[in-house]
Amino acid sequence: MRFLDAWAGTIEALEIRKGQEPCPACDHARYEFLEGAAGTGSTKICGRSAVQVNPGRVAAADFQALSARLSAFGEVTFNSYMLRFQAGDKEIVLFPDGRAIIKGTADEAAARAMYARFIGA
Amino acid sequence: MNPNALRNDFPLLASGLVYLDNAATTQRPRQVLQTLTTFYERYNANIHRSPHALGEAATQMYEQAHAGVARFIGASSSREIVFLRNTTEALNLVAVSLCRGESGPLALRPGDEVVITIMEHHSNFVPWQALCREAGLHLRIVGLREHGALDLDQLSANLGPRTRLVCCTHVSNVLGTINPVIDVARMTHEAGALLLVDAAQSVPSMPVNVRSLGCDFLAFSGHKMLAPFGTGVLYGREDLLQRMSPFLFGGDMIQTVTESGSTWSSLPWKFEAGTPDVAAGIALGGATDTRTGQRLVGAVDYLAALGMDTVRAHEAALLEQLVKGLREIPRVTVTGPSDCAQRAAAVSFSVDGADPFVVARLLDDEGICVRAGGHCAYPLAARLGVDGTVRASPYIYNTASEVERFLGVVKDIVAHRIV
Repeated sequence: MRFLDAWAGTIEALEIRKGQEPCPACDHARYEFLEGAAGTGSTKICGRSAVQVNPGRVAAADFQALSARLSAFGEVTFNSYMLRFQAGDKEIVLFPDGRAIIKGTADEAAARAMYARFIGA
Repeated sequence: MNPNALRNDFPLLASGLVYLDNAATTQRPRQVLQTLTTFYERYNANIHRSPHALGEAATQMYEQAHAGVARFIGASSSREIVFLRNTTEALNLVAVSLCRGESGPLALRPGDEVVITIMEHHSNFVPWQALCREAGLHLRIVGLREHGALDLDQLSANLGPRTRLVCCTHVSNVLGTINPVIDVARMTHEAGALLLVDAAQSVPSMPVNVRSLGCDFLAFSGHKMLAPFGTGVLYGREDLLQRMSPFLFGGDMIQTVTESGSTWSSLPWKFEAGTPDVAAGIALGGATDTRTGQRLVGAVDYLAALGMDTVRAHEAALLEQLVKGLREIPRVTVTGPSDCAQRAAAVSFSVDGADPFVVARLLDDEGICVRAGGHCAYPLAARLGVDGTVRASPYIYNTASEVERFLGVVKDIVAHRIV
């Protein structure tokens, strides 16, 4: 599978093979992502204009690659524990396991959309 | 008390998790969990309804649980103990029932005043705000002195001939401040008013005797003191509860019902409408099957066996260690009284330049659970000028080495992990 991000000007390739295990979608007609069971979750943070976004799966975030991509849209700083991305009045703090705190909005849908746009679905 | 030995009673702690979010909710010991299981396996029946032996046993045990809680807080009888879902429901009961009062000293009238403090949890703030708006009452808010102590001079100035009720937390869930409730009770009664105490953070952690405090009402939650979720308690002086109108209406709270009207059951059942969480109530207050002698251990049994003086001493030692350690870390500010004798073990702090949620998440990465945010006390946060804090709150099963580990991680977060 090839992924072309025209906005960021990046191309990524993923090798996809049929595995030994039965595929939930192809073999069992279970569409976990379409049903939202494996989708991105979010929680409004108590007392703040901020939302915690949970991508629904543990995925090691590549801070180096993200930093390179996001720096076109705002200020990015990172270390091995967290990445901070400031875009206008919004800020994303991303942790290595893919979870993030989106500051500057209390709207969970807007926070998930921001996560999808800048970090990935 | 040996916290390392106690930890064996808490299945969730076996993983090595450092659980320092006890002001939000505590873990449950096997003995209390076993009570839930035993009830459902051997005694499950509805109470106050069923004529069969099982129903009688369940009823007796549920009533014993009320008596267990009454003993634990020094109430005169179990008639003064109402089981509810949580502290919030208990506080709302008082607000609603006071408003429904038809006559007598509890009837609130437009122009009457309710006094609260700025350090109240929303559960002891919003109900009074709403009640005052709806009933035309005036809400007076008492502020703080330096280091988060309640300003008793302000309290005195806010008490007047129209003051009907003072609502005060025993221990602030943000500042950790232990309020001088005995003094507050004296001042309140001298003004001819009643005192309602939010004891959600004190009953789990220190000896609390309602008669020594001199309060008229006191509310707390079971889930903050080893009992299941959905357990809360309202203590009320019997003569006051007798004169108050019911909170909810329905089954079990009535004596007679006719087409023309209803009369109410005796205390405390007048305030416990509908089928309660019987198993959870027994897991809070404990009970013995009088036929078999089998003891179902309640959370108050577990804590009473440790001794609440011992619990307080253990927490005080961890508190000293926490406060001292945090104050030694650059950029860290600890809120609340500097004298640990005047505070309980809920320790809130902020890190200059760091969002409290980020700090909490970084602690979580190390297997350390704390809370972050406004702690359901936004007016206090606004008065303190903070956007939120991180809160560490140890309990009986936490150890000095866990606190040491927590302090080490906070130190490292401040020095290396925040960008």
